[in-house]
Amino acid sequence: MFDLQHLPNAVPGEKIVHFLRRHPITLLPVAFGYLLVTLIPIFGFGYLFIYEPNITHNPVFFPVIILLSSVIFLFAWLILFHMFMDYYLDIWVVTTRRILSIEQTGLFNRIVSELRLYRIQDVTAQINGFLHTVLNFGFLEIQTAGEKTRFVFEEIPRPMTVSKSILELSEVDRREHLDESIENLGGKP
Amino acid sequence: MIPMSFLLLAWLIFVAIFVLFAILTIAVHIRFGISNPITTVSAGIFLTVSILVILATGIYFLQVDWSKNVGLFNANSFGTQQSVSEFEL
Repeated sequence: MFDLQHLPNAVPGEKIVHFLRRHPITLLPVAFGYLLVTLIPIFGFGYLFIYEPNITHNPVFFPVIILLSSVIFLFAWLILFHMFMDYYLDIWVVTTRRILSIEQTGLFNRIVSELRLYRIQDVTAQINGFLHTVLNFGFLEIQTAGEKTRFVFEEIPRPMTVSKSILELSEVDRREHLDESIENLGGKP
Repeated sequence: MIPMSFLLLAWLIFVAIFVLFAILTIAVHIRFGISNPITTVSAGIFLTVSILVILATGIYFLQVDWSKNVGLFNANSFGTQQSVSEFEL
């Protein structure tokens, strides 16, 4: 499980409520890609060795095939790992005080956004399509007061449950924040 | 006709580019990934397979005679210069 000490700018007393990534089913194209990248060389070279031995014994043609296929394999392997990393490094963390969105796009772009729960105005959960409905995953949009930008949790599991939980947490945080504000102003909560 | 050593040079350049990107990728993955076994295992699998492929290809290439030439545009002459002349004879 995710450790609080890994969170940037930890707020005292906060606890992690949800630690979210995209639904694992979104990794299916990557898994399929890995399967292809592994199986194509095995079957390809198997075919050549069994049915085309004159090619495998050719002192020029076969090294060229090995050369090309190794380059293609290595770059396909790298691209697939990038796709996995894109899934793995995109996380959304809901704590008792705030929401953190950490998104990695490519190698050099990383966006870390933070939102205090008391600032949440509305939360929209979206489940569109057959696969999303059957596997219960979808999008969650969080709108804050006075801001155009929205927090979007992409293809997370159980968006309805998470949205309900966020609304409850934001209500609690709003009450606590109000109490703190009144105390700071010198009044009684 | 292209000397086969040119192709080897091109392969080495591609492998160098791959190694550079692989190092950057692993650095990002380890730095920003959560410190748990999945991060370590996935990085380990990626590195192990990459190293194995490069090593296996490299070991095979040690046995290849790179002094030969490749005819890329004429299907009949695809092969060594010697084999073409033998065919013509």
